[in-house]
Amino acid sequence: MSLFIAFCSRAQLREQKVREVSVQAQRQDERRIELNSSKIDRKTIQELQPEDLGVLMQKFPGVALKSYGGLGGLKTFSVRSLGSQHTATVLDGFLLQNAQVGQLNLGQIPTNSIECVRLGTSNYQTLSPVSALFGGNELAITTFEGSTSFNSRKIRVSSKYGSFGQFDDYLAFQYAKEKIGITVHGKYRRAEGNYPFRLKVLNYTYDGIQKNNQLEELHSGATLFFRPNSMKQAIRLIYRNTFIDQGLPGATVLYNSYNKQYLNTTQQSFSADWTDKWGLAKVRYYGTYQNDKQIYTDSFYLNQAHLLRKVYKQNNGSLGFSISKNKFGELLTFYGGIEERYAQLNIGSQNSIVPERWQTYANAGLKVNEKKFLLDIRLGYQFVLERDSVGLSFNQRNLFAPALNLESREIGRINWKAGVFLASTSRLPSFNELYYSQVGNKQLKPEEAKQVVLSNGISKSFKKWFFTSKIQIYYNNITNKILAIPTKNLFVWSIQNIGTVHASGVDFVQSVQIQLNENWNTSLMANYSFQRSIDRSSSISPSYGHQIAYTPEHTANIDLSIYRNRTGVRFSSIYVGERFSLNENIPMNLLEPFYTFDLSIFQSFTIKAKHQFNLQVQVKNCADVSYTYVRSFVMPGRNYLLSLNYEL
Amino acid sequence: MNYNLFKMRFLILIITITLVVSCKKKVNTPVQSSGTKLERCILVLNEGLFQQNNAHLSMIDLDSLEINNLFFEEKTGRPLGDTGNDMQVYDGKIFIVVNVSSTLEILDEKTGASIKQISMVENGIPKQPRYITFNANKAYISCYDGYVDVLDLTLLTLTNRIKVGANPEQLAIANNKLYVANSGGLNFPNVDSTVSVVSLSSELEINKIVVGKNPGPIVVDNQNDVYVISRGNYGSIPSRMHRISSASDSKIQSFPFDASGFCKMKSDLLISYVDGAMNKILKFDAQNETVVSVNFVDVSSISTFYGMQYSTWNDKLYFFDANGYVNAGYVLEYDSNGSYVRKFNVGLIPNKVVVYE
Repeated sequence: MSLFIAFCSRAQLREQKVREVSVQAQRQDERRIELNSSKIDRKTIQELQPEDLGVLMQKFPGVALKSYGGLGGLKTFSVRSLGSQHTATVLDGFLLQNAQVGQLNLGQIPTNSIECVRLGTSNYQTLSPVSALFGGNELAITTFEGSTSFNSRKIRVSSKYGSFGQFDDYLAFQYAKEKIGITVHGKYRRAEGNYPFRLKVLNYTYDGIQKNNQLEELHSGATLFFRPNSMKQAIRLIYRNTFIDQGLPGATVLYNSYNKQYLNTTQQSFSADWTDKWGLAKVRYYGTYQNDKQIYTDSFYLNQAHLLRKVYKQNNGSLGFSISKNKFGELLTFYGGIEERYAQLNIGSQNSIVPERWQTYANAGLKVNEKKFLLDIRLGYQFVLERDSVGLSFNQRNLFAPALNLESREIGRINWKAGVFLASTSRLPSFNELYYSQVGNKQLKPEEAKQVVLSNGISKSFKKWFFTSKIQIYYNNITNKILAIPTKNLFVWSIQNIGTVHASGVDFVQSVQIQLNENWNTSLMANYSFQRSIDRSSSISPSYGHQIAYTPEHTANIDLSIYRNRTGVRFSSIYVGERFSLNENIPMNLLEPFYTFDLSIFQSFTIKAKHQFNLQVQVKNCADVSYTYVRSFVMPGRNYLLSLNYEL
Repeated sequence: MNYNLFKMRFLILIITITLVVSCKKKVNTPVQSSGTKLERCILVLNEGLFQQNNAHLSMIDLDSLEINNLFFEEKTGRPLGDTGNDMQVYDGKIFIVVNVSSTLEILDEKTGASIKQISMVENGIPKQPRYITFNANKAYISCYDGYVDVLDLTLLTLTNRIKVGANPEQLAIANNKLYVANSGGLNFPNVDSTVSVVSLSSELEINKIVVGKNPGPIVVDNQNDVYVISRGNYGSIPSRMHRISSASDSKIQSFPFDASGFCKMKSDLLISYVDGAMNKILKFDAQNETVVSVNFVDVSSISTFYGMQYSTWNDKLYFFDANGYVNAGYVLEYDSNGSYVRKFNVGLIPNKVVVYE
């Protein structure tokens, strides 16, 4: 026993040294403020243990989450009042798209394997996919299976048990030699899901059990890495497979708790890229193919069959290349690329149309890396062609997406940085908006957004602590906003380009890290966002000049972590201010603000220096707050999670 | 180290207090209704939106013109629920059919106090009630699961279920028979086209009359003729009004004009229809089956026409403006000659009134 303790002590000392080095490296990295983006790394994700990417997103400044409740339940978000259709989501360097609804369900993206999530305005990253630069914002996700280091062997295992019958196992293995590597990963999650809730409607509280929340999902995949020619070339082949079978709890309806809707999702994707270097030039060829199948079932729909079953099949594919070349050292970087994307939706019923969309993206840009400033200027061009099974639905469409980013280098002892970002982007109408039953409108134009962001940041390190601080002021003008409006009666709605929204606000991000002594250190991260998103659609509308629906004026996050050697505790809290469920800002539409906090305690230990374990206990929504993001969609109260992670 | 920890704890405390204080909600005080007896006022049923639990009952005080949109909540201590679909007065009681919540709320007509809430959920499955009508000591409630429920008005309990067609909507009584418009709306585009005829004595369906696709609104005139509107498919198949003889239980006439909805005013029918993008009101003499006026009331100021109702209590007409379905709506009052009187800004999607004057 004493031998074991001695062994562990030595191992801990070694680990401590390694950790100190990594903390120092991390400090160096964090001193470089990224003006136009915020990121959350794996360490933070592990401490937060979010159920999915949607839950994690609310930790970013300026994000308004819409969660419809339940594990795996629909979660969408907007950034500074730009709907999620305006955000390009890039997974390991490949754009994710859902042409049917135009936005991704982040509730279906697990976080177990995420190394880093970065959200910001769409700025050029070396050899990023061309299409990613056409969104107003970019959400970039890097995963364990999407990245490799050669000559290494890594294993990651995690197991979680939580409230509501939640059970989550994850395994990933990576083995790489000098020129070839492979990663395989799998995740299985199951939950009974039902949870008690308290819904407050005006002054009346309604207690119940949120039912039909059951979930079973399996994510798996494999990645092959090649490095055929030393460091010059790299090839990746990524395969992912997703299967999700879930109940849809739906809204809580007073006096009627019946829910029998289900969703079954299967998804397969293949992604490949090849990067090469020719002198000062870099080139990346890439391609993706993805097919999705969703089966929605309502087993007590009041039609003749007492069953509603809808099958939606999507096929998406892309091919492209991006290239960059430096000139005069790294003073100038020219970049550009071309990408072709294809999307098809098949609703699977007899009379339904099969819409198809071809998109050609091309962009060209120049980065100037001066000593005192960085300038990035680019122009994107997008050609869109759509047709349905009947014929062309509208004429070919030409869209342009110019953008400019100018930022200073760090100035003075406080490393002050300032910058300005300007962009004009648009988002295409989704297939649902164009073609859905009687509602769709084939004449829809793209929704357009113009962004101006002014950024300021400072960072300063002292002997035992350092901090970063960033403030961003923005103005977004969204025109041709796509909205559903009734026409003849409540049964016949139409989707039209009628909305205009003026959004302005401030995001404030603060981070402080303090090394109290050799055993204790702490970090505080906080952000606060204020946004006024005003409906300017029609001056005769009752909601003209009102804050648009589901956009809180105030949101805030405060996270505090305290570490003592290998033990830590994290306090994580979220505040979402009052919002309105409809655009008209009247008391009847008011949704109450809420404040929730989670508490985690974690302990890591190492065996034989390289086997790392982490045990974590977490209490979520400690104060058992009853709250909703979306009217009538109740969220769970206090719940618990126990997780054990192993890494090699 | 201890001092640093103390500072950290103090910081956390300050942050927590700040956040808790900032969570304090604003209180919006509703207008209070005065007295317990309802007089010189109008009750308005606001349907609300699907899955938002925001059906409300507004009370308009005709003296002060104050509007209390939380009348039901204040009288009963609980919300009305989700999607208030119909409201009728009978036998000294107000009956409110709440569709998605699947409840029938029964209030005292004089005071508005709750007498009973009847759950229209059977074996955990909601019946989705839609409309209600009355005869003698019974109430008949159409349910979207293809039945009409029978309510005993003495016991206030459901006593029977009568099988009719798919997704029944409005009901009417003539010649001791119940006529039920079977829309079949949830089988769209293969909707129903029939009106079920139910014997009130046997409480069984005795006949089905084919009228036209997607029947919904139905009324009986003073000669016991049954008028029903088939709403078509909102596209290539137009909406039409049909006349059924309650003597022979057969369709005897279809009228060659569009008809979205109607209400009975004395011996006439007022029929709403869409002319281009405009809603218009046609006055129809039901005694002679002739059109009196194609534009009886100017409703061009209504942004989202959502129905009308004639009140025998004060000989007034009420038109409902859903105001885009996502904004607080209006009730517009007209006299029976079609002249505008006034309007009231009420709750979300008003669709029925009860007048105390």
